[in-house]
Amino acid sequence: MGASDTKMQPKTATDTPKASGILRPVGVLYVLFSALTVFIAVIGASGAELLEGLMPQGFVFLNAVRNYAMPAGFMPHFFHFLFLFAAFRLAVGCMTIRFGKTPERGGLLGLLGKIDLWIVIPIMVFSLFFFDGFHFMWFPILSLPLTMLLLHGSAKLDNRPGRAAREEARTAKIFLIPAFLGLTFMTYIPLTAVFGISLFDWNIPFAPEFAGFTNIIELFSQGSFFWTSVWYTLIYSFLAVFLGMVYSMCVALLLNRKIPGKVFFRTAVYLPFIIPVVSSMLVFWLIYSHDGVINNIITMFGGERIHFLFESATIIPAIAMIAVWASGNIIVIKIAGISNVPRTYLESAEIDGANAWHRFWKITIPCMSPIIFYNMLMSLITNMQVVVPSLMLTGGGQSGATVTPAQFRFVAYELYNTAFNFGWLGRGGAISFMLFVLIGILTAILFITSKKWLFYEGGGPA
Amino acid sequence: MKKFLALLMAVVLIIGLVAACTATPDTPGAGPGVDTPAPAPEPPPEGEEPATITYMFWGDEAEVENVTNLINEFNALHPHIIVEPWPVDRAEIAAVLTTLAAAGELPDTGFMTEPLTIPWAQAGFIEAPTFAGETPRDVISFQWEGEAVAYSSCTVQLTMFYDLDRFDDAGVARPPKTTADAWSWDEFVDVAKSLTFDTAGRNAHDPAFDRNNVEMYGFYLEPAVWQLELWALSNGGGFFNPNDWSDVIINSPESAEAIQRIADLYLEHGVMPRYGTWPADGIDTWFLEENVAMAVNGSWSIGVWMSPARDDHGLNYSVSVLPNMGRNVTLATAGLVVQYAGSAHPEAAAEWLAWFVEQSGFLIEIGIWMPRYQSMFTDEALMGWAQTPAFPPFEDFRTAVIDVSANYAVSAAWHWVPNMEPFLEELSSILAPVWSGEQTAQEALDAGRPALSAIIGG
Repeated sequence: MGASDTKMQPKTATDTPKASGILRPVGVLYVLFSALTVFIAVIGASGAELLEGLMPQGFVFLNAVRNYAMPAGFMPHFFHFLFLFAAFRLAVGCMTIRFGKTPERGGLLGLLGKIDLWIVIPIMVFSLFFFDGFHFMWFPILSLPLTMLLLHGSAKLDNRPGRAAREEARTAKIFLIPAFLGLTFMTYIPLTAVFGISLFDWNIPFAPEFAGFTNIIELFSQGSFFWTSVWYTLIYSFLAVFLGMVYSMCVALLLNRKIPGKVFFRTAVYLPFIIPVVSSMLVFWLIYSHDGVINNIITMFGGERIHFLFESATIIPAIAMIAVWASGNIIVIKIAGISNVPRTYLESAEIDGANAWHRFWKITIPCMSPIIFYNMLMSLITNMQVVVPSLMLTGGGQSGATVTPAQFRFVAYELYNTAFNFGWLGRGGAISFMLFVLIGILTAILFITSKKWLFYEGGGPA
Repeated sequence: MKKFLALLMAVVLIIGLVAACTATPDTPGAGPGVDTPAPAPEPPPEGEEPATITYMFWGDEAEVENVTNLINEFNALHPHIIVEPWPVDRAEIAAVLTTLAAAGELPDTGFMTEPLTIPWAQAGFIEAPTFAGETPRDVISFQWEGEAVAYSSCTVQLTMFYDLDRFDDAGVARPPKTTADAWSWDEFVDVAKSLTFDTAGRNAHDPAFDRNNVEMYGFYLEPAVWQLELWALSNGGGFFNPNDWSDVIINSPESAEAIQRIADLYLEHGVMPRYGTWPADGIDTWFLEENVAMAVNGSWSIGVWMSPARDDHGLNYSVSVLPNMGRNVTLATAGLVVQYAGSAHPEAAAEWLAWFVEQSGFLIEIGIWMPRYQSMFTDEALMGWAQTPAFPPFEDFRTAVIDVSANYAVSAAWHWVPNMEPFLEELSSILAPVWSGEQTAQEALDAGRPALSAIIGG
């Protein structure tokens, strides 16, 4: 780092005028923008009709908060906050104009830019959720490029030691903003909102009422179907993950041998994975049906037909088999893993007299344990959220449209049905939150126990 | 310079991202999947902005096209209103409505499903119906606290269909046309046995009958759990106490016996494919492939499946009265179109709906619907609607459907009981072991009643 610093130092001097070329106009824009902010805040804080029109419609959870939980007097405070923001921006603008050519102040301007960013993002989140039809989004949209230009310009101006690293870090941060915003709106906020919804007694079409943890407590109460559905989901996941692991390992071992048409077989076992789930479900529905292939074979030998998707004992294994059949992705990863097991270990074991089983169990499996772990984790998380078979094989979530044996009612299906078909959003939120916790616990268990059996050839992650 | 370009890209990215987020709500026709744009209406007379309202509906491709054409016609005739079609998937309708209600973005007008109607009316999401002329018949009304809060768009009821040729081939007398001659349950089972054949041509009366290889079943019942109420009522029971909807009587001996009898059609007599194992739609296929001789299904099947099968493939079918477990009854229910509360243009919405209901007479003409008014079921002079080519022979239809409808039709439970959606889902699971023979109906329903009660009460 020291070397690059000394290399950078002389360059900074030549960069400075260029940087100030950006910073001066940025400072002027900051001043103008603060004037605009004051204007909006004055209208917002005084114009009652504007407030009425600016109420949110589009977002379920925050809609409820606005209607039922947000203190009535909250909105004016937002505009008071905008006044403060305007004052802050005015100061930033003045300082940028004043210090736009002083490399020693580059760090200070960078700090101001960061603070600015952390104010603009919350305004963006707030206006996205709390203004009807996103009417206010133009404000943060206009404001964000200014912040970015300030960050960029100050990084160029800054001539303190470590400038290059800081400039790189700032550029990285600027590039991370879109990803961060995406994650915030698509993941973090919905995740928090689901927990928020679970705190309301909210049955569509009736208005929500705050209910605390009642919804979650009710899931634990006697007679609640939740634990039965958790139990079915666990059985299903166990079967799907375990059988999937065994099946994929067997196929991967076979396909790793020198057999003719290897490429064809690799493609063949991978194909089920890329077939749309809906089509493969339909195919299996036919295979399992009263007149399906399996039943025809059974009756050919004089047996009784089995209604795979209607008998309580066969439903879950039958669905799990579909997941196992579609585990082509796991097979491909396993094949790669097997070919990565060091030859030297296997050969020296062979010289020492180890038979094929010993070599497989004592060398191949331990060397592949990180891959097995990863596959197990991923397929556990996916299978715990299983919902497509339930929707497909029970008539598309139209309740009572067809016979829905209880074994079909996996947690995610219950969640979907409860929240969207029955309109019990509060309970749906509670189920969703508990499913999240449950998957979290299972993942944690897997991680903790993995320490005992994971083997990293390279020493493992730090 | 590179970095500046990169920076610029980041700014563009963000603006693009945000712009993508902002584009949806105010765009007219936010209804998804609208591919046929309405033709531009004539400009409104006084330069006023036309009122734009949405109409949400479900249907297959042909229905979507029909409705869209109707909407275009309306738009052309009414320059001051623009109706925008908003087709949705039938299976998703509850989910779509729930989400829209939560977001406060309901359509102005649209289809409504039966199970949602009572709670939605209760919560004030549905405008109360008003009628300039005759009020629709009581049996298609949705009743809450003694008041009709909505009416189905039409009458449809559960009806027995049969294939004449199958009866004649087996040498079995054709089913009765009038309630006076209705089969008792045992007579019905007996006939169904005579019409059930295995691949070796033995009927179900034969001791050597092979239930594993059945060529044709005597009877088919669509696996729709709500229809079980019909048999419970027929046997003197029901789903709910008629005087108090919160009292679940589905485990009463009468109701349980009726449901057990349905299960026994498969378990004991082998005259019906196992409940649930045949897909719910398309009874025409079972008839055309000679897989069944009789089936109970909604009267909409006349227009949707049976008459097209008759006209295109020569299916020789007719209708008869339902077998009688003790009480003459049929179950009536139908979806509805409503005006959702909170529309920005309530008058325009009402005008559109009134026009639309008037125009949908073509659905009666093609045999999918039956009329909404009691007089059209009691007054012989007004029965012309049932004499179009789409309907089965009038002499059968008159006594087996119209008279039954006039005198014995009962509204399905969701016409007066809230929370039917989760109730039926739970009931479906409770009854699954009954269809497989693992439990008797009485055992399953006794065990399941507390859960059902909790759903209805809560």
